[in-house]
Amino acid sequence: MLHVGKFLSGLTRIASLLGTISIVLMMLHVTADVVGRYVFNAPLTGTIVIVGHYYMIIVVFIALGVAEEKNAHISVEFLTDMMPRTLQGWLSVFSGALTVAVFGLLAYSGFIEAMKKTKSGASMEQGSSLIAIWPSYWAIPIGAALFALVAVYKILVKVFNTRNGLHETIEDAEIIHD
Amino acid sequence: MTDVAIGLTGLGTLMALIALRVPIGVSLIGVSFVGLWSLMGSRVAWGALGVIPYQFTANWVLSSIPMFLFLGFISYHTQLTKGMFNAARIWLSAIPGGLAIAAIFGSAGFAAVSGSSIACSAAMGRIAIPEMMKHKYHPELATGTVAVAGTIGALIPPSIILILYGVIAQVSIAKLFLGGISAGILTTIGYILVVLIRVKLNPDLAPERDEKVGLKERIIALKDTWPIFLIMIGIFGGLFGGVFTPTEAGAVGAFLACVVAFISGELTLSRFLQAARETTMTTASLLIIAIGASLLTRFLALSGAGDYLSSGIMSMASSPVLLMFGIVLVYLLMGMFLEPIGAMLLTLPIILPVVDASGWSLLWFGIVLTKLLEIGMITPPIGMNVFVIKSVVGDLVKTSVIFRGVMWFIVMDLAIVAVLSAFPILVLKLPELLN
Repeated sequence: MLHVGKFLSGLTRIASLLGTISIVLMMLHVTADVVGRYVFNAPLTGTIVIVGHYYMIIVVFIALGVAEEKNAHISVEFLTDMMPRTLQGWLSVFSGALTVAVFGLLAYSGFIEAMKKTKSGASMEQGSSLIAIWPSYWAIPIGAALFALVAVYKILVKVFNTRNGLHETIEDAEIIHD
Repeated sequence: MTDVAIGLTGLGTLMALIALRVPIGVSLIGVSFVGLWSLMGSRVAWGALGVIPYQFTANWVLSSIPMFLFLGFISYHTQLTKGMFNAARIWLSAIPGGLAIAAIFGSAGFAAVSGSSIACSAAMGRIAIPEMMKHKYHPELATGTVAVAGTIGALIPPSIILILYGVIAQVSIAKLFLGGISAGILTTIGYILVVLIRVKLNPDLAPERDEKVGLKERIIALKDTWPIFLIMIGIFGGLFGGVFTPTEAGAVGAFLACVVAFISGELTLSRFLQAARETTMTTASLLIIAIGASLLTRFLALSGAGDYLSSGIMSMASSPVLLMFGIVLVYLLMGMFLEPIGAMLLTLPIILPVVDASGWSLLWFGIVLTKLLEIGMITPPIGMNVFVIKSVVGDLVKTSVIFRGVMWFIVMDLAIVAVLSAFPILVLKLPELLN
């Protein structure tokens, strides 16, 4: 189990890296477009399509699993915090199971959609050029599946009370130190 | 079951799931999927789940959310506002409660480079609170002021809440930003008044400092405010000067912040990467809720439950004043338990048609709504800004003390909501100039 957790943690680390790269690229790409348009009167064609269909899709869906590992998804703890510990434990298993089900569904529907778009070679016109957007459809099934897998693993760790291979805390050492 | 009954059952289930700590995004997507299935059959449900998440996310305008978040995280990790607080501290040294007022000014400044109030409270908290404690300020005043001043972060542009509202209500984001400026400035003035009144009533809250500062020192202190002003001028100058759009302002602002932080020697590779990582995670956790909310909107519209509730609200509220009163009450109650963006996304499908049918300006409502949601950040039992301040002060100050310090400002907040409701022109004047 520990190895499975470490493997999943490795996957989310790759996902986190992809998200980080997309954020940095988004910033540079849009800035370059603005500078190009304003200073040189030569905007970068396709900026809007690439930002929306690539960077945004990757940041949102690929990072879902990362947020799950770090317990960063937004939920309301107020009521459950007043309940007895064992009940809280069962509720978190319930909520985990629901998470797995919902994101399993999303992974499946995303997979069907991605297959469709890949077959038709979906692309978008911007200006005179055609930009392929079908590859980005794969971010949804991959990201949703990673989210579901991390959630499954968290349930198993809780139910069988085994050692956790995930890194559930956010590295905020810097905030503490200064 | 009738369609409306299915819709209402769905809403009830949604509330129950959220109360049982199921992540809000999961609850929204799950309930909408099952709801659409029982209304229209499996094909529509699978179709919506396959198409809406992608369509909603692949949105150029929404891309400003991660970019403004990145700008905020970079500014936070590199302490870009430290100079601003220091300058305000020195200039206000003769005024009673000067440090608390300096913290409010600092927050308003940080608000101009940050889209959320949590980041704003956290940033000012770790700069201003130690300073106030050192000068024997009462912990209630020291912590309460900073927790509250953080809410200016969501009013003064950029603002994540206003961007999401603009996308959903289809209101110009540039105009919302301009409306947010007046509400933000009004709030800043209001908070300063509260500090002045409190210190006047009880001078022990903020002992006078016997620092004598000369003019030369004052001028020197201004020098360190350049980073924040440079970024502010860059963002707002470019935005309202027509060089770039609000969507692009986030990316350009983040880039500018990186350059400024690099020049001032505060930007290390690890801070840069950490800011980007936090941006990714925050974006994913916010947008998955927004995706769920857009599925819910579809479900509520098809079931007719949205119309049913909206017209129910309309018929109950016989006068506009009563309606506004009801809206304020509902959001104050929700703000006690829910995080603001979640609360907004959950309620907009029902409340927007009401606002529209009442003939109110959607632009004005967006600003008042933001103000109301931000009050939720500081009210017990769940007040995110208060918890952030608690994490800054650790064991030194109890959470209940911070909540007590905040109470005074909530009275002012409610007064501001009343003023904004009575005189919508305060919000609408600046955006009108844009036309």
